[in-house]
Parts: sequence; C-alpha cells; structure tokens
Amino acid sequence: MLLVPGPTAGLRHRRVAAFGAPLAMVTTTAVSVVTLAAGNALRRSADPGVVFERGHPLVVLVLVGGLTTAVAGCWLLLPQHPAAGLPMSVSVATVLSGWWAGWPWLAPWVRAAALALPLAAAPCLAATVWLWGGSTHRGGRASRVVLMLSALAGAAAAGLHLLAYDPLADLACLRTCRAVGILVGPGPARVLLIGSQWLGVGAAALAFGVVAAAPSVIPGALRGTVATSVATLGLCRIGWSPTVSAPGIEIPLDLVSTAAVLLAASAAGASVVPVLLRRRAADRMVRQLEDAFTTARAGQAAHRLVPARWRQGAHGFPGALVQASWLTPVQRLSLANSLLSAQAQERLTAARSAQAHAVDLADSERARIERDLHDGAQQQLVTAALHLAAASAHLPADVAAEVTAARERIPGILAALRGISHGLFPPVLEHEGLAAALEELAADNLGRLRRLGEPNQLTAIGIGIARATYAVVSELLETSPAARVTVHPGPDAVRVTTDLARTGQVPSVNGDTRAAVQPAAASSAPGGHRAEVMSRSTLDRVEALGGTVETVTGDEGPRVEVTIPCGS
Amino acid sequence: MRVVIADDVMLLRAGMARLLSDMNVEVAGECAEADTLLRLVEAEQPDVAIIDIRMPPTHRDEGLVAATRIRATHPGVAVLVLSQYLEPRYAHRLLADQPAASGYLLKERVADVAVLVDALRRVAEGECVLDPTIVARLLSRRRPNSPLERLTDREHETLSLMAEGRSNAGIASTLGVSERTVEAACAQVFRKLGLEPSRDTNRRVSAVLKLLRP
Repeated sequence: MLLVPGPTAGLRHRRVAAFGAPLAMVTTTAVSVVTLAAGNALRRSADPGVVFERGHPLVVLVLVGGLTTAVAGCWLLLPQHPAAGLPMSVSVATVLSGWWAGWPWLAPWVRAAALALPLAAAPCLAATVWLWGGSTHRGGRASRVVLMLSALAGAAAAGLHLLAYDPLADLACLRTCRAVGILVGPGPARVLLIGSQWLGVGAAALAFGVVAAAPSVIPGALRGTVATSVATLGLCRIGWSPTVSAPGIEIPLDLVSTAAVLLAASAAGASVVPVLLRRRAADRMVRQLEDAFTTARAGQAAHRLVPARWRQGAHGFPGALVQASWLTPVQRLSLANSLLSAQAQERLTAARSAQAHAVDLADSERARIERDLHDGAQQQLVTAALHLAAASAHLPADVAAEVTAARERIPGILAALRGISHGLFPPVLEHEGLAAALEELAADNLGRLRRLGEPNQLTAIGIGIARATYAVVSELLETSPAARVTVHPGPDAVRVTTDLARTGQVPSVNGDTRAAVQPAAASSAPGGHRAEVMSRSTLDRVEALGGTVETVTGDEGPRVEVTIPCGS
Repeated sequence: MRVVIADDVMLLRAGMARLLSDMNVEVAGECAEADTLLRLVEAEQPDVAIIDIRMPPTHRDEGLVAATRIRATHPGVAVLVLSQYLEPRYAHRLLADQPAASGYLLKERVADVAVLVDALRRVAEGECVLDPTIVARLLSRRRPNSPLERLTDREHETLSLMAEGRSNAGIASTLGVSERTVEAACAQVFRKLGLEPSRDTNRRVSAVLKLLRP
C-alpha cells in the first residue's frame, strides 16, 4: 500500500508531485524539441561536426540559460540536502561538457568525450532524485523549485547534446562521431561512445526504477511517462542499430537495450495497471457511497464498502485512504467528501434518533402525568367535592356554610388542573388526530389558521409528526397574535408557514427559549421587535424528525417556514 | 326519576349515588365500564344514564361512544355525559346526531347536586344541556360572517342560557325580565339563525347546535 507518512507532509509532497514533476517533464520535452528545431534552422556549417560559429547568440543564450538554471538548482538544493546536491552538481558539470563537442579546434578525442559525457548526467540526476526523495520531510516550495530546475538542467543538457550534431540527418550520431574522429578505428574513444550509449539507456532504466520506488514523491502518471520514455529510447537503440551500415563499424544487437525495454514495460505494467485498477475501484466505491448516503446507516455502509486494506494506517479511517498516493486529486477530494458525508450522515442520524428518543421519553412522561392528573387528582377532587356536598346536607347551617365555601373553591382548582393537563396532552389531538385538533385551533383562532389540501392527508401521518405539527401551529398562533398560519400537508412533508408581515415581528428561532427575548433588541431591530417564535421543546420536536425551521424574508415581509418530513 | 351511573371511580360513583338518593332520584344501577353500561341500560331502561366520558380500557372517549349508542338504540333513555374536557368538539360529537335528550357537563358540576338534578330533569324531558363554561367558551369565539354575530347582547344571553338547558321561565328569572320578553328574544334568535318554525324543543336544540358548529 502506498501511503504518505503524515497528513501535512503528505499534502506538501503530493503537491510537489502533482505539479512539479509533470511540469518538469513537459518542460524537458518542449525545450528539447525547440532546441532541436532551432538547431536545424540555424545550421550554417556543412560540416556535421561543426554546427555553430563560435559566439553564435543562440549558443550563448542556451549556454547561459543552462548554466544559470543548473547553478541555481545546485545552490537551492545544497543547503536543503547536501547528499542530493553532490550528484546534482556532477550532473550539471557533465551536461555542460557537451558544449565543447561543437568546437572544431579541439582535439577529436576531447570532442568525443564532450559528446558522450552529458549522458552521464542521467544517473547523476537519478541519484539526485533518489537521495532527495528519500527525505520526504523536506518539501514545500523550495523542493518544487529544485525539481523544476533539475528538469530544466536536464533539458539544457539534452539541448546542448543535440546542438552538437544533427540527429535528424544522423540518427545514431555515428556520422558525427566519425566526423569528429571517434569511430575511426577501434580504440578507447569507440568503447567510450558505445559504453556511454549503453550507460544512457541503463541509467534511464535505473532512473525509472528509482522513481518507481519513490512513490510518495512521484505520482503514477510520471512513472508511466518515464517508463514510456525508457521503452522508446530502448526501441530507438534497437531499431537504429541494424540500419547502421557504415563500413567498418560493427555494432552488436543491443541486448542491454532489449533488456531495458522489457524491464521498463514490465515495470510499467506492474506499476501502472494496479494503480488504474485501484482507481477504478475507488470510483466505484464513491458511487456506492453516494447511494448509501440516503440510508440511516451511512457510516456503517462506508465501512463495509471500503476494503479492509484501505482502512489501515496511523491516521485511521478515512484519513489513511484519502492520502493514498495513487488517487487522483479529484478522486481524493470526492472520496474524502463521500466518507466525511457518510460519517456526518451517520452522526446526524444518531443525533436525531437521540433527540427523537428524548422527545418520546418526554411525551410518555407527559402522558403519564396527564393520566395521573386526570384519573388521580381531578377525580379525587371531584369525589371530595361530592362528599363535602353530601356532608353539608347533614350539618348545622353555620358549619354547612363553611363546608360549602370550601367546596365551591374546588371547581376553580379543577379548572386550573384542566389547563395544565390540556397543555400536557391536548385530548383532541391524542384521541381524534391532527385534522380534528387543527379544526379546534382554527375555531379558537378564527380566520388565522388555514389548512390547504385534503383533511384525509392529515389522518395518515404518524403521531410524532402530528404532535410536532400541532405544537408548531399552536405556538405560532400564540406567539404571533396577528399572524396567519398556513398548514400544507404533502406526501413528503408537512409544511407550516407563518406570514409575519402584518405583525411587524422580526422572527427569531435560533435562541434558546421564548424567555430569551431581549427587550433591548426592540429598539435596535428596525421595523418591529424581535421575538422568539418557537420554544426549544418545539424546535426539538421538529429537529428530531429531521425537520427545519427557517425564517425567510420575502417580498411580502418576514415569514417562518417549518418543514416536517413524513417520508421516512 | 331512575338513573344509572357509569364511572370507573368507585368512590365518585358511590358519592353521586348517595347525593342523588338524598334528592329522591332512584339510582337503578352502577357500573365501571361501557359494555356493562349498555347491558345495564338494556336491563333497567332508566330515564337517564350518567356517563363518565373516560372509562376503561383506553380511557379516552368510551363514555361518549356509549352515550351515542344508547341514544341510537334506546331513544327513551336520555344521556348526561360528564367530562373533564372543555373542548366543544366532544359536546358536538354527542349532540350532532341525537341532539335531543343529551347533556354534556363538566365533571365538577356533580358536587352541586341541584345543578346535577336540574340537568338530569331537563335531559329527561328531551332538552339538551351544555355546560355553562363550554357555552361561554363557544360564545367567546369570534366568527366573522356568522349569523351569531348579528345577535344582540340580550339575544346572546338568551341563547347561552338556552344552551345550558334552561326553560323560558328559567331564562326570564335569571335575566330578571318577563317571560314574554324571553319568548320574543327566542323568536329573534331563531329567526336570525335561520331556523324554520317547528316544535319548540327541536328549535332550541338546533340553536345550540348552531352555536357548537356555526
């Protein structure tokens, strides 16, 4: 499994890998192509070994550019990482040596060596990347700059090498090499050339291997690109070699190149194909997670959908998975989003069920108290009144008067108890349902309560939703004495709206209770006083059912909109 | 007058029976639940059944259901429902189908035996009786565009007393006016509520129903 060590470092390196490395590859390719084209266009000499006049502006420009970027890269890298800075410096030196191959006044063996040396930059750069990639805690902008500069240096090296001869006319650079005297007869120069070519291919393969082993820095796309480059280079070597027909030259079938191609292809396959497969699996998982969000157990579904091997890691789930380096940034984002949504959904569900449980508990407690009041205290008071009445008939007139006075206080107590028990448990709502209870409310608040739709839409809904709706409606009628309340029963939700425009109220439902109304706010709120339109317990009822309470300020003034879903 | 009492609280039943016996009302039977009540009514054929609205098994509105059934099956038996519920809805349910010879009183009225016996007598005579508190609550409801809004204060008073089940003489003595004045007021109420002339009792019941459901 390919995981970065920590969230912060991982993020930084991912950023480096995501932008720096591909950009470096593109830059290398672009610079090479441009330099090649420019070299062909500006060629002046018929001698393939002498490309440019001394002091040609392009030559100077390329030389200065290559020098600057290489030195800057070394300078930046050295304090950051001395071990990686050394091969980097060597690679720059070898790269710059290619320049001398174009000077006809130099000894041929010097020019041959100059032509061959830049290829040694490849292992040096590979070593740089390897050493630098090993210390993943170093990162940030400097690292990105280093990567880009080393890529530019590589590009400059390739450009200088290409400037030294005409690769289109002389694909294997054999003519050029012969022109500069390398291939004339066997000798150390010839060995050096062929050796350097093998070394180039081998170094590229090695670089690929190193890059493939440093996954935290180099994304799969770059590894694929490198592998393709290696394979192409190897194929070129194999393809070109048989066409070489210069007399007296024998180049054996390039076994090293063939091996490099096979190695690159298998490494690419081993590296790229699993990544592609895992990405596809991740895509599928994201889709399944999205489907799972609608269910109450989204978090569990996520755990089920995410394979166990993706759930490991010091940072737990889902941190470990979303930091996997083989994910594309978009996948990483959508996966993180899905997993977090799933967790949030599950926590929300748990919170709602806890809230609903609390509301249910409170309701059953209310029912019990109401029953106790009705069947206990109220009945006993009535009975007591009865007995007092019966007793007073047999008492002397003065005592009877006192007993009667006591008895006559009982109806007042009973009326008070009735008020309490009605508040606890509106009997019509409990016995006859929401439609009947709303009818009673409408009769008590004539012209202020409107019900849209059919009354039988209200009979089908559950008692929890009915209680919440009733609580909302009766509270809105009570707290906003001039407002009109409308109930819209629907197949998915019951919606209650209150038009507060006529009351001059500024609705507030975010406070704790109605008692939290701030008299001081009356002067600060223009156009009316601020009032809590709903108590905490009613809000709890609505929220426990997944409903919402919103205050909307439309063209016709402020409005409170309560939506209580009744689908689930 | 013979009555049966249905209430699940034994003490209350017994106290009521004792009070009524003192007032020369014969208590022909007592029971604690609706099914027994129906059998008792069948067996005893009382003048009035006094029924608590809340009885086993669900303690909701069994008494009301039983009362409606008694009125449907035994037209000769009047019902007086005792309730702790102030909601006019229950009174309306009781009176909607069989308005005559039915009464709905708050339970605490039983302690005032004179009121209780008066109500029993009226329902036994075929009138309908509503608790004054419920009548007051009904009258306090504002009703734009209702014929009730066109009644004068005196006619309002007359209607509320009518709803409590009082006769013209009773209304006259309560208001301190002559019976002829009450008759005239009643005629005005009937006319304004759009009640066609028919038997006086029926019109009074219809007027009360208008009050319950405008």
